[in-house]
Amino acid sequence: MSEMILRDAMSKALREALDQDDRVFLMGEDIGAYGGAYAVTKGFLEEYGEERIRDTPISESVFVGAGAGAAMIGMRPIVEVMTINFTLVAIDQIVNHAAKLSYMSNGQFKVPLILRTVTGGGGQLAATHSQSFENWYASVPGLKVVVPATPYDALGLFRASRKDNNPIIFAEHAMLYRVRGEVPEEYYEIPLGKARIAQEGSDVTLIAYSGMVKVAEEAAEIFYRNDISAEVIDLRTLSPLDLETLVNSVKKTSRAVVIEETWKTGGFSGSIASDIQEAAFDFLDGPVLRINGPDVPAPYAKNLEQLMIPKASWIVDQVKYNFGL
Amino acid sequence: MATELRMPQMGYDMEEGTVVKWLVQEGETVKRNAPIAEIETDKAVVEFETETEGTILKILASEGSVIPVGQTIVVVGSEGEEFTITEPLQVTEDSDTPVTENVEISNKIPEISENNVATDPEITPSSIIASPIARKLAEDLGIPLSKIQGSGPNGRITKTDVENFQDSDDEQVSETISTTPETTQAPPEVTPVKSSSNNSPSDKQPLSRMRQQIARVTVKSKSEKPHFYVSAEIDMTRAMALRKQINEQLSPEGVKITVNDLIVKASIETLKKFPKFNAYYEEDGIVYNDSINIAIAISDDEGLIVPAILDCGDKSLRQISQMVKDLAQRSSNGTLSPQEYTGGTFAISNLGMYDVTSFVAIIHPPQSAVLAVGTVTEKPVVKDGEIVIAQTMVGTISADHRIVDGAEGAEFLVAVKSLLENPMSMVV
Repeated sequence: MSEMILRDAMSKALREALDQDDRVFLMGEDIGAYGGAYAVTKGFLEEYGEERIRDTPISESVFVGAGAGAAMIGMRPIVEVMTINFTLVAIDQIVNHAAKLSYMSNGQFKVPLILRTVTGGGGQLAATHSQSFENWYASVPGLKVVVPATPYDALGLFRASRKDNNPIIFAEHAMLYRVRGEVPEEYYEIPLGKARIAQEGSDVTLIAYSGMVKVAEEAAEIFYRNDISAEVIDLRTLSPLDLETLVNSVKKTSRAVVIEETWKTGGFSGSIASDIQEAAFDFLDGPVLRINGPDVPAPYAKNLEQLMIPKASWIVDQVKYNFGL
Repeated sequence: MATELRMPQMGYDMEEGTVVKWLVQEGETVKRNAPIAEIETDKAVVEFETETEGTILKILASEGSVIPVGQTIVVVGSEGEEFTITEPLQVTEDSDTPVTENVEISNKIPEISENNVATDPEITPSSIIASPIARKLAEDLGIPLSKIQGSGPNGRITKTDVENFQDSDDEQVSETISTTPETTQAPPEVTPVKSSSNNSPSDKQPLSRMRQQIARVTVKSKSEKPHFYVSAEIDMTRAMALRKQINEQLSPEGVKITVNDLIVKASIETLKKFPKFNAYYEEDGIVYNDSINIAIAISDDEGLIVPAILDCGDKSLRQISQMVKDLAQRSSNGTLSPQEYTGGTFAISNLGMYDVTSFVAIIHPPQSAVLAVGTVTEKPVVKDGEIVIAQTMVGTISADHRIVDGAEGAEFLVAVKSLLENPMSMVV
């Protein structure tokens, strides 16, 4: 067992892929000569060469489409879009092509494309560079959406993603690259679609993913000091969604809060909250709460930006008010 | 036309009552205002009178059953008359078979009778706010939601409320059993016998009904009413002298004025000048009471009740003294009327019998103020530049800030003080 930060866990995952599978190649903006906008592929170009570590022009539609095409003919491309904000340029390739090709060709084509990208705000990158769109992609059939919160999960989920024959949005949170955690030496995988109970509890279920898991854990710590036992669930993947684990937890606690960084309107938390109340209505002791960022563009100013990212105190206040705990 | 008589609300916060005994039988003819049943509230057993004359057509609540306020318990009408009742009777406790007795439920539009006893017809299961799990749990356990006090937002009954209620349920059952239906006295204090196999903490004593009631009312008052307090030292020297004089002269006639009587009288006179202290707050306005009903806090072994002497606005000191004495006597033998239990418009809490200087009291909802007085004690005071011995007492008014402000509280208290310091005006 060794400790590493999430960035290093991702580098390890990519090296493994390159080392173990000749069909794997990396493609994206600044991943080669520059070493990656978030330095995940630092040194890769020297090690693996230009053919497998391919710098692309600033043309997301082209290189995402090229990745999908390569996947169709048997390669295992790992395409990096610098941030999820830029995937909008390639959204037609992702939603109308990569996600649909297997279905529309009656399974004649598979698109085993891993689209790595960086999500989330908090880095003062302003309104167009601080968004979280993984919830959008999670609503598209044909795509899988992976949202790790720890180094252990990042590596384990990536390994499982490599074996999957569907296009995958692998969204790494910008603020989590320096998060440290234990990663075993021995090989392991984490199946897609299996949520993690990050902390067991009996009074309230806090459901989160990606950057919000640590916020939920902070809230659980506050609850703990107030004799309230919170169960924290890390979704790990939005699609497939492990509803079973959520419903079992809510049946136990009777109270649920879904925490998500992005805007409340249209947030994936709404879909989850709805699923929970449909499946566990008779077990609920209050409304399924949603904690999301407010419906505003991300401000640049640090103090204002922080005001729109959910905090543990928001969770605590809402839980206390709505559940009388 | 047949009239449904419902479980009356005989106390602020009363949600249910036990039909202890029927004084009439089906088929019997009753006059208006005749007592037809004995009903036990949280505090006492009181007689339930029919407000309409006629024949007892159907007794719906069996003796010993606990009925939510507003639920029909008996139907009165003309002999042989056909009738329908508006809702099935839900017996909430009593037997192991939760009875739902349907008596000729028709699809007619329910008759709304003006003769119905004052009730709160709003309390129906569908209007109770409860979480889904609370409803399910209560149903599984056979606990009527109407019996549970909600602690969540908007008074929502939560899972915890049901669980807590369930925990206290055993005690309630034992209490019901211990209250023999024949007695008309207040229920004996419950001292549950602990079985040795009981693994609950050995030092926990279950709450009596009165204790539960006091807990509910005081918590409600303190959480809803923003209390403020004003205190003043009152020179009682003259009042004590006057009292002594009256009692010496009128003792052959059985008159014995107490310090408390003087305080009651002074409060009445002051309330006439400051009617807001005799009013109560509602969301959409201040409700002024027509009469002045002074409630007196009376404590006994079981706890505390705050019955009132009714409509005492124009009563003399002598009459007031008699009314208070009568109230105290009847509270000890449990023969107070529902109106006396709940009709207070202003309260006085007097701990003068203990050697305490002062204290602050909690307002008894829906009232808006309470006057708390300590003991009368001799102490040196400065009068006209001289130190003399005076008999003083500290009075503290607690008032609802939603209705009155600090300055009004001060004016009120100073007016009481002035009357007690110049007591002649109260007797002449």
